[in-house]
This record gives sequence, C-alpha cells and structure tokens, in this order.
Amino acid sequence: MRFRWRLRREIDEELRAHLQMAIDDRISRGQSPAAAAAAAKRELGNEPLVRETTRDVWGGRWIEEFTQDVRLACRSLARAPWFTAMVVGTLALGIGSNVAIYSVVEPIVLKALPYPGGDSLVRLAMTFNTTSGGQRRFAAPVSFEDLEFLRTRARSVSHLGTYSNFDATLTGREGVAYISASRISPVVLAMLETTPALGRLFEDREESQGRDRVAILSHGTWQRRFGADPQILGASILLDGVDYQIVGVMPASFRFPDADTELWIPFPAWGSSNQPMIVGRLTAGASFRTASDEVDALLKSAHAARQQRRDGPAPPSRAGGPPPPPPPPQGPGPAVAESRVEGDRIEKSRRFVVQNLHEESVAGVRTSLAIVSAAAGFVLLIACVNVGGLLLARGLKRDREMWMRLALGAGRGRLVRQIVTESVLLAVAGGTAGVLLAAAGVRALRTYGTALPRPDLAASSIVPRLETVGINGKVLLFSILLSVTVGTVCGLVPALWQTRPRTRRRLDREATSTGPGFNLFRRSRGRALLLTVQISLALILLLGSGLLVRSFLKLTSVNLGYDAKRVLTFQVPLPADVAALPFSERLAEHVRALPGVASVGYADHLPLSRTRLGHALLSASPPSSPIQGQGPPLPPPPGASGTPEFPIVHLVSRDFLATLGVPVVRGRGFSDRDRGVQPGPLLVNRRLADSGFLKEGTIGTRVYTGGEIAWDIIGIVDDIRGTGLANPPSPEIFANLEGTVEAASLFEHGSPYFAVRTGDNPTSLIPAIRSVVARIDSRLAPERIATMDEIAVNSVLQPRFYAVALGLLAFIAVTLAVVGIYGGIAFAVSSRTREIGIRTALGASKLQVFGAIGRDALLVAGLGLAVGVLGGAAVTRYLEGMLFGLTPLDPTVFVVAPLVFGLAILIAAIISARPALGVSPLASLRHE
Amino acid sequence: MPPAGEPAPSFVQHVDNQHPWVYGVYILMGSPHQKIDLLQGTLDMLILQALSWGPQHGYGLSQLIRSGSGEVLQAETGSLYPALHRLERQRWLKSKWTQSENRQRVKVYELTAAGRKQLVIEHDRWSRFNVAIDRLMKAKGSLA
Repeated sequence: MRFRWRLRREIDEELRAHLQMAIDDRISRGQSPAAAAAAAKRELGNEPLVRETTRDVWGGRWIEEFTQDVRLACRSLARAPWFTAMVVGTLALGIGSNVAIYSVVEPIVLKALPYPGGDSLVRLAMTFNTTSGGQRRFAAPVSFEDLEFLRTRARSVSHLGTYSNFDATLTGREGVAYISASRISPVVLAMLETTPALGRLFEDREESQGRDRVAILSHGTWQRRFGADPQILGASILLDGVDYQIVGVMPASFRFPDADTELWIPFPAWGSSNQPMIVGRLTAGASFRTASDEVDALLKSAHAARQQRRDGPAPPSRAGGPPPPPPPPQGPGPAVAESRVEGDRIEKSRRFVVQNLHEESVAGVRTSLAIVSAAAGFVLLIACVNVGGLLLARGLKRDREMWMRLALGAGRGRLVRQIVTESVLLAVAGGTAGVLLAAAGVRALRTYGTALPRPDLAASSIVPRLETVGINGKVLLFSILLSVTVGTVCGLVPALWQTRPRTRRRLDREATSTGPGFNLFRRSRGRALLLTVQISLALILLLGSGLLVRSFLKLTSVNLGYDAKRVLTFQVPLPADVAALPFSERLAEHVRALPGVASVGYADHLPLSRTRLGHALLSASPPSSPIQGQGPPLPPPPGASGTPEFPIVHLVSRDFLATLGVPVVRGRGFSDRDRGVQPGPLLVNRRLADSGFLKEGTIGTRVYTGGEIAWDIIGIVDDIRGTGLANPPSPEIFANLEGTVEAASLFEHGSPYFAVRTGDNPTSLIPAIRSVVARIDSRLAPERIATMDEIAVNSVLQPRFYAVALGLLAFIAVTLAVVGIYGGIAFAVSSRTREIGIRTALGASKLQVFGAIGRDALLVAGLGLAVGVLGGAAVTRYLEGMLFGLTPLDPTVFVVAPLVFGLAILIAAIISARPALGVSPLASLRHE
Repeated sequence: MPPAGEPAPSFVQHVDNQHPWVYGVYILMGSPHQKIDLLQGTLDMLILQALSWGPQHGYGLSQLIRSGSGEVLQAETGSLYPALHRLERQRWLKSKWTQSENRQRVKVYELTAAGRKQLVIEHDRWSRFNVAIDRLMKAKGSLA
C-alpha cells in the first residue's frame, strides 16, 4: 500500500514536470503563456487516464479498484443509515443463529471422538426383531469368557474391553467426597492412546483378581483434591472403604467416558456377569460390516460349542451362560410356554453388530440437533430473501444511475463487482455482529443447557460435551465463509438485474408500463414468490416451535405427585467407618431443631435420582402366581421402568414422604408405632395398587421381597413422577428405615439423601446445615445440595432447551418474514405511486385502491400460509420423539399459529399500504 | 461520443490500456495529425535508442524521438509513460530523480546493461521485419 502511494505521487510529479517543460518550451518558442498551457495540456491528453494507465503497468490494479469499491460502498451505505442498519441487523440474526447452532453441532455431531483414530472406535451391540416386526438394538451383554474368546480370535477388532461408571465415596487427605469414577479395562484405556501426565496407565494383568487395587486420577481431581502433589504416585486412597494405590494422573484433555469422571480403576475381568458395554477398535482395513460378520460368527459358535458341552437342549442356566435372549419389551409374558416360543424367535433373529462408538453416543441427540440446524437454515434463508429484496429496492432507486454509467461505457463486470462488494461488505458487517450475537447466545445456551453436575440424577445433560462448545477458530472460519457466500448470493442477483443490458425503447416501456387492471406485484412476480416462500418457511418454524413449546408446557404442568416448593435436598458422603442409619437419624434430629425447618426426612433415593431396580416382589396370594417356583424372574433391562413384579424399592425415613408432601391415598403413613413391628410395614404407590398384581384389597396384604422377607402393606401413597416428568409412574414400594432391620441393612451400603422442608427460602439454610454436619463429624460435609425445584427443572432441561432454541429461531423467522412483507408491500406501493395517482385522478376511490392492494397482499400471504401449513404437516412428524402429550398434528397449534401469523402479516400489510391512501394525483405525477 | 464525421481530436482518444500490444505513435504529417498503431516493441525500441545517447527525462525523450525522426514521429504521452514504466519494471531502464536546468525535480531514465542488449535484439528484429515487409511490397505477384 505504501509502495502504491509513493508510486502515485511520483507519477503525478513526473507528469507535472512533463507539462511544465512542454509549456516552458512553447513559451521560449514565442507562444503566449495561456496558449502554451492550453496546447501542452491538449498534447498531454486525458491526464488522469495517463496516470492510471502508467500506474497499471506496475500491476495491482484490482487492489485499487477494490479499495475504491469499498470506499464507495462505505460512503453510500453511510448515507443510507436506515437501510444499512436494517440489512446488517437482518444478516446478524440470520448468520448469528447459524453460527451459534453450528458451534454447538460441530463438536458434537460432526467431530469424531477426540482421541487418535476416534473414528475407528467401536461398540458391540445386538439387534433382534421384535414381535411387532420392527428391529430393536441395544448394547450386547457379553460374558468375560466370551470376551476372552473374542480377544484371542477376532481379527477385525482389537482392544476389546469394557467400562462402566459408578459413584464412589473417596476418602482422601481432604476428607470424604462423592466422586464419579469409572471401571475401565486396561486395554480400553490403552486404546485411547493418551499419555498420562504422571505415572502410567494400567497394565493388562491388572484386570485380574488381586492385582486390581490401582487407580488413576483425572487431572482436575489431582489438582483439586490432592493439591497437584507431584509425589502423588504410590499414595493410597480409600474408595468405598477399599484401599487403592495411585499409579497415574491423566492429562487435563482426557475426558472419558465423561468430562466429570474423576478417577479410573481397572475393570475386574472375572465373575460371571455379562458386561453391556463392550468397546474396541477396528483394525486397519476392517469395515463395520466385516467386523460385525466376524464377531457375530465367533460369538454364536462359542455359544453353540458351550451348549453342546452341556449336553442337549436343556434350558440355559443363567450364570456364565450365553447372554439370555432379551426379554420382550412388555415384560414377562403371561405363560411360560408362550414366552419360550417367543424367546426362540427372538433368539433366531439375534445378531451381534459392531457400531461406531461416536455415532452411537450422539445418536440420541442427532435428530434433535438436525432439526435445530434446519431451523437455523430456514432463518438464514428468510434473512437472505429479505436482504435480497432490500438490495433490489435500493437498486431500483439507483436504476437511472446504473443505466447512465452503463451508457457512458462502464464495464458490466465492473459494476457488478461494485454492487457485490457493497453487499459482501454488508454481509461481513452482519456476520461480525452475528458472531457477537452467537457468542452471547452460546454462552446463554451453555448456562441454560448445562444440567446440574449430578451423575446421580436421571437426566444429566442435553447434549454430550456441551461444556466444550464455544466460538473457536473453526466456527469463525465457518462464519466468514457463510457471510461472504451470503453477501455474494444476496448481491449478485440484484447486481445482474440492475446492470442488464437495456435498449432505449425497453427503458421507455419500463418507465411507463401500466397494464389493464391493478396488480401490485406485476413487475415483480419473483418478489411476490419470494415473499410467499418466506411466509411458508417462517410458518413451518412457528408450527414446529409451537408444538415444542406446548409440549413443554404440558410437561411442566404434570402433577409431580409431591410438592417441590421450598424443599432443600442434599447428600452426605460417609466414610466406611460411619454407619449410615445412626448418622442419618442424628443429623435429621439436629436439622429439625434449626429455625425455619418444618420437617426433615431421609431416604436412599430422591424423586428423579437414579434408582435401583430388580427387587423381586412376591405376592403371597394367590399362591399359584405364575412366577412362583421359577425362582426370581429376570430383572428388567437397565433404564426400563419397574413392573409390578419388580417395583422400584425406596427405603425412607418415617417423615420422608410427608416432608416431600406425598399424600397418603388410603390406609396410613409410617409412624412411631411401626418400630420393631414384624412383619415390617410397607407402603405401595397407587400404580402398584391398581396394577392388579396384589389381587385382594391391597391394605393388609402380606408380600415378600427377595423371596423370604415378609411385609404388611399399611397404606397407599400417590404416584410420583420418579424417573422423569414424561415417564408414567412406575410401581413402587416404600419401606420404613427406622421400623425394620431388613430395610436398615439394605441402607447400610447406601448414602442417604436428606430432604428438608422449610418455611421460606430453603437455600438460606445451607450454612446452618453445613455446620450441623461438621458438628456431628468434622470430616463430613453436605454435598449435591439442590432444591427439589432445581432437580425437577433439571429433569426437563432437554425439552426446555429445544423449546427455547426452536422458539427463538421461529420468533426471529416470523419477525424477519413480517418485516419482509412490510418492506415488500411498501416498496411495491411506492413504486406504483404514479399509477395509483392516475387511478385516483380517474375517479378510483381510496377504498378501491386500498382494496386492490390488500387483495394482492392477502393473496401472497394466504398462499404462503397455506403452503406453510401443508409443509408443517409434512415435516412436524420428525418432532414426534420430542413431543409429550400431543401429536405432531396438534390441532391447537395448527390453528393458532397460522392465525397469529396471519394477523401479524395483516397488520404489517395495512401499515405498509397506508401511504397509498394519501397519494394525491398531483403529487404522484410530480413524483416522476 | 463526438458527432460522426468530425475527426477525433488528437491525443484525446487513444490510451493503450484497452490493447496493450499496440502503441500509439503519431505521424506528424498532414492535417490533422494521423495516428498510427505500431507493433509492440517499436516504441520500446525508439525509447531504448534515444536513451542510448545518454540519460534523459520523459519530456526530453519525446522531444528526442520527434527531432531524431526528422519531425515525423511523435510519441503519445499516454503511451510514452506506461512504456517507460514498463521498461523500468523489466529492468532495462533505471531511473533517478534529479534537478533540471530550471531547478525542477525530474525523473531521469538511463539504460541498463540489459537494456543495451535488448536494444540490439529489438533493432535486429525490426530490421528483419522491415526487410520482409519491403520485400513483400516490392514483389510483383510471382510469389507462387
């Protein structure tokens, strides 16, 4: 640039000197000074052109033209601040929403797992055909025997191993704390190819019995809980009361399986249990298909061989046997014979498959994120149409200028370049504003969408790895590309149109054309079409978001079954030497004495916390119950809700249900009378009572759990939404902790949750509770403190997230579309001022003029709305999985949304058409 | 556009940015002055030749070409300066700023060694071209 500036100065000076010498020469030859100057100038010719041509010799003309264009564009945009603000704002919304969504989607869906070769990490799954003809797929449970067999034989998959997360009480130097830890096969840790920050990874032999007391810390835990002690290796820690030796610390970037995993211990590779999460790595050259074929064949041959060793077709025993066929989704069948036939059929269709681990981990959110991305795309499209319309309108005002410049010999390419430069400049400005918007939006999404850091709660996070989302280089690159593309596309069409070659006759015709009858969009059918498209796109978004919002409202108005207001909950991690029940009783007593506390209870679970399943409940009567004599039935697969045979078991203190405000429907709740009573008193929920499993009048029925422990049902409590607001209540039973030895013994290994009902603000109690806990045992502190309200909100984060995200996008889309309509009609009216004036002069009434405009506007709007409703009906079914309590064609939404939108369009149309009423024939003729 | 029929005013119309391979040099004979388009390299050759007599500024060069051609050729300013800068860019010329006799700052061009070589090449090419044209013009239709 400096060079060009100097060049320009030198050439100017050179030519000036040339001219001066020519003049001096002529004067010395006797010409008069004036004549000499004129002649010399004439001889020099078109001086600016000479200068420019000389400069061009040195190249870089495009730089000059570009800076010229930019300067020109800046100046002309500054002269039209409203137009500029409008375009930049529109583009900021369109580009910003896409940048925000992209920054969320990119790391989650588009990026592979952040490990070397993350694309070749696989998971073992099993598919089988359901009775209804569909295909179901879930993680394949594999025994260690089979795993060992696979490890030695499989060629297409290596590093086969497993992992599972668990909650543990860590007793370290800083006291006792809950942490989320992971048991992981040494080979799986090695598969991720991460070098530890300190120490080493697990060795293969450390998955065998007796050698597995080693642990690796996460970087965060090492820093937070161990003061980043460089001498940590070899130190010992207590995990659930068991001694482990620290052998390594992982780097901060390592987040497997979850970002909040704090510690890893080797997965014990013995015992007879089947492991549901088998992972590995595809070997080079193997495809998912060949690996699936190989693994399927190997596992089936292993099962067949074992079956033969066992002699004949005896029913497979459970322990150590092949994985049992998955139970049909509806739970145990009514008759044994029938279910065996069923089981055989399922068994035959069973097939092991190898899947991409990353794709599986995002499968749950892929559809939802795809929907949000599509919505953002719609918004951008609408924004582009708006901006294109605005540019076109602006271009029409400069029509004469363009025509003049073309006539004077300006190159069409040069003019197009100039117009496109202007629109790209606008788009870049809009993109910059959009990135700022997106940064704010992403921050909001993150705080809004990040769940409580509570692995113990059922719904944990909306999208995996949301905490890593942000505006990074990739996102910036995306936004730059997007802005430039949008600018070029928006500008190119108006630019080509403005610079179209025109003959003089055509020019005249264009200036005066008035066909028979009034037609608002006569000269711009394309624009009318774009308006229609805009309206229908916006309406589709509005319908979709309307469905999600209505579904969310329905969800939050679900009767929880308890009163979540003003209840504080927390958990106290207990070291192995503190007995849970006496501690809990004591703490409850102390907390009850605090001012402002209405009641206190404790239990092994809270509503919406993860629960244990699989306590078989046997009804003593009738004695011919089909499951009797079969031994305890199989527990349902994880994640399923309880069944009457497998109710969810809650161990609660006497006051726990009362503290939560769960009403007793029939019979009575727990009381002090129950202490030491045999058999123990039991409460059941309404769902279990109504299920018909307990045949006679429920209260007073004697039931057994675990086969031998007897209970008497003393009352029925209301159903609570224990596994999520959208899930129907499961059958549940409640045993009194203080009342029975059996319940207390189950409780011993748990970690109690406390619930405190307060008079006013529950969080103000936290310091008092902290000091009470410390007074009982100075090593202890309450953790996982949250109000019941927070927990309830946490469980609906996901639907709330999508309702808000789509709602926001729809709002932007509708706003832009309404602005587009307003601008479109206003422009059409203003460019037909002359015609309207003539019509008025010829006797058309204002009403007629207004009616004519309204007719055309409504035609466009009506068409757009109709197409939008049809389009919405076609696409909302993709939302089906995200809806609660309504169908994708919910009539309320499909009536209200078009009505509201139509009303908004009508208002915009009336406002924009009003100037037409005030057109006086005289003024309109002067207008030209 | 000038009305048809009238000759274009000299020096105004032609600038060689449209067709960089043609250089405007006027033949100062007859009235109005007639413009001829020379092949690329011709003006370059004239400039190089004029500079071979010694360093010179742009105006001086135009005067030299005019006087050296016996008042027949006049280099158009719009062609002369682009050509000078092009030759300088190709390092056949070098330039420096000096004071002229009437104490004006002027840019003076000078031939480089490469420029001298180029002059020989250009002159040689021009002579062969001239001979060829001459031969063609004198041929009497017996070429076949």
